[in-house]
Amino acid sequence: MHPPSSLVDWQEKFGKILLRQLPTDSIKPKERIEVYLNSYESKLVSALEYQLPAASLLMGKEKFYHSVAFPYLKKHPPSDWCIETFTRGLAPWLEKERLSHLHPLLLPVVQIDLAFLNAHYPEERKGCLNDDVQVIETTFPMIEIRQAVLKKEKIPPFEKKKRCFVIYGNEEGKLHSKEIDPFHGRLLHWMTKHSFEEAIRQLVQDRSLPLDSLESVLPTWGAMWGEMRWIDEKRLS
Amino acid sequence: MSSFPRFGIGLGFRMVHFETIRQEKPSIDWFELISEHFLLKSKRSQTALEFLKAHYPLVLHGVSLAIGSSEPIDFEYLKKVKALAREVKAPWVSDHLSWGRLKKAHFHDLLPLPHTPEVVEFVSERARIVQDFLEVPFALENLSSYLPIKEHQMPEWEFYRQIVEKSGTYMMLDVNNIYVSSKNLGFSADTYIDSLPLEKVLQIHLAGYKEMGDFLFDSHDHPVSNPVWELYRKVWPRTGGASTLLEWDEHIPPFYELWAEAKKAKHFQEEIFHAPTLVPC
Repeated sequence: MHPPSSLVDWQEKFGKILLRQLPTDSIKPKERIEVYLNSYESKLVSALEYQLPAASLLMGKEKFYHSVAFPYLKKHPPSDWCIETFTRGLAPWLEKERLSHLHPLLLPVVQIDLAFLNAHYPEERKGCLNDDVQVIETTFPMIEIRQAVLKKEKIPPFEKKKRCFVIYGNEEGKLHSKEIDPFHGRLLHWMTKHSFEEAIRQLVQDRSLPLDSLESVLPTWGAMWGEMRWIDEKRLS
Repeated sequence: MSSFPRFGIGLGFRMVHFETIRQEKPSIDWFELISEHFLLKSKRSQTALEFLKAHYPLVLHGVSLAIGSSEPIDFEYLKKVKALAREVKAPWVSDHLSWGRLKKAHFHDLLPLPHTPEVVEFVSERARIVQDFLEVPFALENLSSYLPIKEHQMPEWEFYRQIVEKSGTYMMLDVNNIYVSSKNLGFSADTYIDSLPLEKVLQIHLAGYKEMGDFLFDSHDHPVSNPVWELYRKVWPRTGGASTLLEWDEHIPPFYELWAEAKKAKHFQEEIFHAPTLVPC
């Protein structure tokens, strides 16, 4: 059934006001249309703050709203019912807009917040790791930094070097994190995308780790994958 | 109507209360789940769902269907809702008489519709399709209104009544929303409820609003106000005792505080049952 054309026109106009493509006085009385405008914007900004708690605290609520959340919402309004899809788009947008000048830790903190979000609401992947296992390769001690920010403590001094963190959930969905060797992290990174054999091939191709060294560490790493429930046995076989 | 379960007094389930509920298994009559909170599978939501399924009757309440949107119905979303409804054995599913979706934007809000005969036809047909698809009774909830839309050709109660009757669907009557809208738009809440086919009400929502100066806002962050309890006292017996639920979404109080607020509805129900019967002359 086709919608009445009057409804299509009316909703397009209303929608454009919410997207701030038309002034609020396009519909009278404007004070009341502002109730909807405020509700739409504040609901989605609150969702970003809730799902990216460390990023919001790092920047301060005001700055996060004006410099990150609101401009992002204006540029990329959600396009489906799933709020998480909307939040996940923030990291690539920050990179594209080159907003790292706002705070040197903004992008890595957003990435670590998103890793926690993705571990909580995993997306289906093709690789051989469980979908909730998130591998973060970075040069910052992100877990310590995130904890300090969430506790509103001073960020401890750190040295920039290659690091890797795994964020994962237990059976009941409580999230945990573990720092691992960056070579190990590289292999897990490939395992999020590929079969085990293909991941090994990619790692060797990367020249991240010579094959003979890999053979000596694989049994230890494999034991950890089983113990932490990172590996999906069905996908592995 | 008598074939629909009457669950008593329930609460909108919020994850912050899960540990209390799991540990203490409080004697709540039933819970309403926000569908969208369980459509994306997470271990935590699945753990909660398994527990709730095993201990309480559950119904589903959605916020994203956008039944009045001029965009096509999102059947991928509806498939997920249907699967969830089957999983929790929901006796009905509800969503709002609103729109909130355009081609490239989902507003995640409950936006008002112009009350015109054309929109009645359009929404009724879609509501019928949704109910057929879900294969369980489908109920629409009335919104809180803020905007006196000049395109309206009929009052809200007429719009609501016609859609429910034409589509063969049901009502999820929000008593707080009736009160909020009546104050914001200047109509009689009594006229509203007197004009509805209240035998079609499957479920009642109660909530608190916030005073915003020249209007009331349906904020779900306050106790239910006295005028709303008064309206509830009038509505509930005329629905045949519809399942009643308290919603609270912002500044959520501890579980037992919330349950105490919901249980006030029980006092009203008991008062009604114990009132002397008036015999017509």
